[in-house]
Amino acid sequence: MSPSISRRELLKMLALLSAGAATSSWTTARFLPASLTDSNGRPNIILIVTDTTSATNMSLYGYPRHTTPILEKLAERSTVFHSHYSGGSFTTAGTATLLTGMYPWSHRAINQMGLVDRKIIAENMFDLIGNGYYRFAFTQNMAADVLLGQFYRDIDQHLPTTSFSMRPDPLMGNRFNDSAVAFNTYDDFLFDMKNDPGIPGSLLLGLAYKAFHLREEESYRYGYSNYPLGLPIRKDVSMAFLNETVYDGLKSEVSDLWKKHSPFFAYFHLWSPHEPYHPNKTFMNLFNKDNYKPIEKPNAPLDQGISASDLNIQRLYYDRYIANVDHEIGTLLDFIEQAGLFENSTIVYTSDHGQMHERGIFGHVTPYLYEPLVHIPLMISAPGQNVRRDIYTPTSSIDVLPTLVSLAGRQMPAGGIGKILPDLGGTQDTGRSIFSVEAKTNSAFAPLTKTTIAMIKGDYKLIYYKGYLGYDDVFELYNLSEDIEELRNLVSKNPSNLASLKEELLENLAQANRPFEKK
Amino acid sequence: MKTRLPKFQDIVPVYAIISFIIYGWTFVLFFWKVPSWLDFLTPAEIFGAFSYGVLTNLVESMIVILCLLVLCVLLPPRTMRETFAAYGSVIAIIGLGSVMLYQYQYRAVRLDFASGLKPWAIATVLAILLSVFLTARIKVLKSIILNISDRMVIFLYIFIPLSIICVLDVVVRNLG
Repeated sequence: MSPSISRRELLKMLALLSAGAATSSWTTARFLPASLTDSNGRPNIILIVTDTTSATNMSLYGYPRHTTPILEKLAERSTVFHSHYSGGSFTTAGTATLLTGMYPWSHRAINQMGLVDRKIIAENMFDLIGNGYYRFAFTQNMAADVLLGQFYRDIDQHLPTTSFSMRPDPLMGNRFNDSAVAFNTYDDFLFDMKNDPGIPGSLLLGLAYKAFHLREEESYRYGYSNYPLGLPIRKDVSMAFLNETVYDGLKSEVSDLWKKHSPFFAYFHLWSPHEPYHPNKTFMNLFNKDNYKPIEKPNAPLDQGISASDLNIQRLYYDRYIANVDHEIGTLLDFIEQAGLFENSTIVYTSDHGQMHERGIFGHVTPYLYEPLVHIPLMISAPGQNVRRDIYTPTSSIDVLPTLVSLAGRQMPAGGIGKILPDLGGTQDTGRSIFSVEAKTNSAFAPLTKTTIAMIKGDYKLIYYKGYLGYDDVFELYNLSEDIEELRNLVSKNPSNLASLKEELLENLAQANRPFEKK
Repeated sequence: MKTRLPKFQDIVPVYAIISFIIYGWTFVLFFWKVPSWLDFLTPAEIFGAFSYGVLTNLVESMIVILCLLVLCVLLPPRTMRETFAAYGSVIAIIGLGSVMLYQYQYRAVRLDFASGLKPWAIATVLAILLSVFLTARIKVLKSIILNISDRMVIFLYIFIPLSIICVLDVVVRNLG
């Protein structure tokens, strides 16, 4: 069933078309009207988020190991954003930024498993895309699912976070009709399985629940010939799954959405390639003896003390796992292709944050905001697009929301700082500052006093560390066009733009802190 | 069967001790969470979370008292039935206290948590047996335990009505 366009919507489209034509190159304008006229309506929107995917480990962005051959094919019919940054360095902060179009210092989901400030709950991606769309959401990551729980009024269909997993749903909250509150109570409080603080609010059943799931986790480790390192497993709820089953599930959901609901907006947020890295055996020998040696970097002052050789082994496993995920994304894209959905759908591929295997640090629970942690992929394939476009000016995950809202033919509320992405109705802004914010141990209701802020402006990236023991009030400045590995800190050379960059960063931080300061 | 069960007035103080520990644990952690929830959840949702917590506490406390009653039925009457108030209270205090310690000790190390379960369970059983033995031998200790459990009964006047309200809240929330 194809919806008809009202006169009001048609006028909006024409306004968008003329704005796009006025501000963008001829190729830009070519995609936008195609997306609106070819399908005789608004395009379907499929947003695919793979957790913990660093652009710095993707061959799509120049990584020497050929980790993403399938995504490179998708790039041939997409707009590829080469300097795209997440708002945070872990799921809660990064996903909340994507879904609200605000930086962490505004949405306040800055702690592990945190929530967005309830004053801004209404301004989420599902609400702003509007009920003219059938809005579907599925994430395997519980930290992201907690956020979806806040937006449940604006989601038409939500799949439990454990869908397509190996065992029945272990989450207690999903057993209640009142699942949003029950989830917050049971899975985030009474049966809390998190590491920190990880004390279940239920004395006895919490202990029993934890013990049962940890025993199960042990059983997933061995005995699966296709997974020599054990089954892929979600650390947050000790739930094993097979990537192939999860992606088969997505195909089935896309098929249902396509047949029953048009236009639809689908948000898929997949756990892999999050650690632990457990690729299928097909990918287990990939990059063996490829002679690739990552650039050696000195350990960071706040490192985890992990040796370079151990980090290189983890990096190898990560690269294999990315290749595995790339393959699975390929099966989903093939399905979308065969269904003809590329013609009337916008396909967005991105991540919530990156991952680090250098400077003595593994993972993404760290105060740092170096490129591997915040430089994430973003590709958008507009309906019917068949040429590649590359955008090199810095963009942020706060820009995805206004772009999708605009594609849905709606207006963003006033005051938003995200911008419609270049080539999709927006323009390239080289003078703009992009921020990433890390403050996971800072109170969400207090000024940011223990935090790391990265500001990317043009070629430069200024990083500010505040409140860390032994590393307080420290600045680092890198010229990314000459030093993408962030090895030469320019602060000691005192370049002419340092003072103005510092001033701008500190002014933005002060502005973000102002509502939380005691009067 | 009825003759093997302890008297109702002996069951109540033991249940009071169990409830005090189980409800108390949840209440402390709940109020530790509330400042955060105030910014992210509505007051109705926070009360809903509280209701689920109290419902869970009710189930937990019932499980523990039922286990003690089953133990009482299985053991010879002189072993436990006649001293249910004292022994039941000691078992509840040591057993639940041990669970509290374990939960706190292993809050951050998940795999150690699993591997440490068996030795912890054995140590808890031994500690319970020793405590029961000492309670039987030392009259002052027995008297202290009985006094404490008797005073805990006052909390049941809070916990029981609160549980009824919260169970009703959960039922209403899940209707339809």
